[in-house]
Amino acid sequence: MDRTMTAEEALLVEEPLAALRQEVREFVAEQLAQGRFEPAVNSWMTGFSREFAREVGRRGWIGMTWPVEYGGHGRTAAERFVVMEELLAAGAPVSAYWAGDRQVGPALLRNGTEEQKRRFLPGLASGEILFCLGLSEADSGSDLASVRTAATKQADGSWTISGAKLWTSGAHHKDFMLTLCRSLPGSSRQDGLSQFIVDLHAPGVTIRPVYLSNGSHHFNEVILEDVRVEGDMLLGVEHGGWSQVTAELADERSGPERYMSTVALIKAFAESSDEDVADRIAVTGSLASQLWAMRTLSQDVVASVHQGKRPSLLAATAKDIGTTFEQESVEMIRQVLRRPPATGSRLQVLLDEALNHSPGFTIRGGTTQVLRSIIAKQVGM
Amino acid sequence: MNEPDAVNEDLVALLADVFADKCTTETVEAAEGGWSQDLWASLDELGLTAVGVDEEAGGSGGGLRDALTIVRVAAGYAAPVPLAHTLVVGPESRRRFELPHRPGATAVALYGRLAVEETAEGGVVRGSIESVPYARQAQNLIVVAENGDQDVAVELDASVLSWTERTNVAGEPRADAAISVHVDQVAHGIAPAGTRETVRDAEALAQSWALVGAMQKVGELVTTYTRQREQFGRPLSSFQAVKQLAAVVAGEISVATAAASAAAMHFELGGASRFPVAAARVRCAAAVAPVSRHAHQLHGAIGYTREYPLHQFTRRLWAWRDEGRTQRQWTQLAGERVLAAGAENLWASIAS
Repeated sequence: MDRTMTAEEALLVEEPLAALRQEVREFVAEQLAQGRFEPAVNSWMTGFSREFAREVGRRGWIGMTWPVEYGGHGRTAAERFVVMEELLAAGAPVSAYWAGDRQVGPALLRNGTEEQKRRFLPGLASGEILFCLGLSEADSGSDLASVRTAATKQADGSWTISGAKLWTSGAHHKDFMLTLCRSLPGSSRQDGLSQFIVDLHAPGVTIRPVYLSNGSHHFNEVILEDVRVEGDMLLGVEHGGWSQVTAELADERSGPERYMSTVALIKAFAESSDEDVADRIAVTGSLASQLWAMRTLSQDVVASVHQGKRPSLLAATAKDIGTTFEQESVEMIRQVLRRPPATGSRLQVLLDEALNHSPGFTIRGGTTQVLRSIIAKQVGM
Repeated sequence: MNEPDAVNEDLVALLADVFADKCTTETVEAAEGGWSQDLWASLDELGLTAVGVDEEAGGSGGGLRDALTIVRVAAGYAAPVPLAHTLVVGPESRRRFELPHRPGATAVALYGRLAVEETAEGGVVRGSIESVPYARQAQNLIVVAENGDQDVAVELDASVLSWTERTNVAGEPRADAAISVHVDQVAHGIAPAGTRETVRDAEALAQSWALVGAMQKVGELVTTYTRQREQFGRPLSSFQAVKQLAAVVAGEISVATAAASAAAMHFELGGASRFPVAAARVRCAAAVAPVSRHAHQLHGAIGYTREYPLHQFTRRLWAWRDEGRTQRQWTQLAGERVLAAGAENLWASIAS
């Protein structure tokens, strides 16, 4: 009855991880000491800094698992996990490169031409080229297969794109948008969709802010009016975009950002001297236990993806449970406060921020209801 | 359901055969209030009651994860036998306190009091223990207690004591006893202070795996029942409202499974932090309310009848999550452990 080490164990006990973790923590401490950022909740979605992206890129922490020949660093998924979670725990402004590192790079590696890989991957990995994702539209939210933004093939092999993408996070800061379009006129649902790399500075692109409830600018509507896109900016298979997009979902749904959006708040609460000690210990114990448990599930998914599997059940589960926890964490902390936190205190600022962002936790990247439909299907219902 | 990668597939297959044959719904029903001696004899014959103990020491070989796998699979059959204590908590106690292996069903008391008094007839071990699982059915009793600046364990023949037996909410036997036995009647060992706490962690780990096993079975019952049962002319499983609840059940089970598995690794590695075991125990216990509530909701009235087996699992879940220490006590302890290095190091304590 010999036992071998599980993938998850290999992830955890690998020696170099401790050194890397320490390196990231030192970087974070140094950045904080220099006043480069304030720890924030939701920082992977709303904490934008080009300089920070470059700093992280310079240290080799973007595109970590990509091949060295494309500017990547040939490191393991476990090493990437360590960097991601340490930066998230710090509440660092990582949103500039997050989508590029998580989705666009892997999509290029899977489906891109040699030329596309050489053109974009090194810049993505250095934090110089920033991508956003153009998926949702006004009439296509959870029902992504209903996208209408049209890409029309021209005689010279180029494409003309017209339509509008909505809820595009950070488009006003980004350089390119990986855009899902209907490329086959008259096609319906999953058929006839293609992915294009659209230059956000191209003629015909208008970026209009859609302000969040607290007045902050994060979402955009990206209007595309006869935007010319060269034929070599089609990603992957013409009319085969749907399976490419769905393949990205396990990457998108299972990462540590799906349960760590409120860690900055949890830390501020744990450090608060204003609360009843027994309450603070018990609530911290509960929050930390849930975080730790989510982390084990997320590591299982990483290990599974690393083994070449596509764990869509676990990925959907991780996002459902993780984002529900993010919302609950705000409520648990709020309910145990003995008095209103001082205005301007770290706890108050982070609590307000968390409340303002919390509706999005269970919507973005697949709503809870859509995820639960996927989970039910996967368990045979 | 997600299986831990290192699960011993031969062992799981063997267990499935044995339990399907020897631990039916009727077996569990008949054993309520006591145990199934037949099932125990079958497991014993196959050497499954001594897995996790080295062969040289008299066991069947295998490691902690094999022992935990048996506990998990057995919980998926609501097996009315003391496997968690015989396979995990007992051997851990014996290892830590350097007591020799003893064959047979074992009960361990981890929350009682114990003292040795010198009398005219020599030393007498006195103490009191409560809610010991399967104590009256077990052959061996181990009592682990604090004794000044050391911890102490004694092992004796369980039948020596006179037990007051009760049952938990699942109808499983739990017993109390006052201890007053001559030191010659016990084997004893001492170990540094804190050892009892480590053995309590081993129990928490076994409980986490048992909770997972029972919840996995509940998840299967939910899927099977909602696919078979038709209302409004179609299976319940085709209704969105039903799917949404079933998905919550599946999700809670997945996260509990991942946590229990990782906690076993941390326990085996014996790292400095004991937070992971507490965290897994908390998370597995916390999954019980949504899993059992939604499972019953989806089953309707039949789900909480005696004839339908769901209760054999949900009632055990309700009992196990608060045995030894309650979910709240473990939550407090998880908090203390994760904050031991200071609140400013909270994240470092979670991700270590």
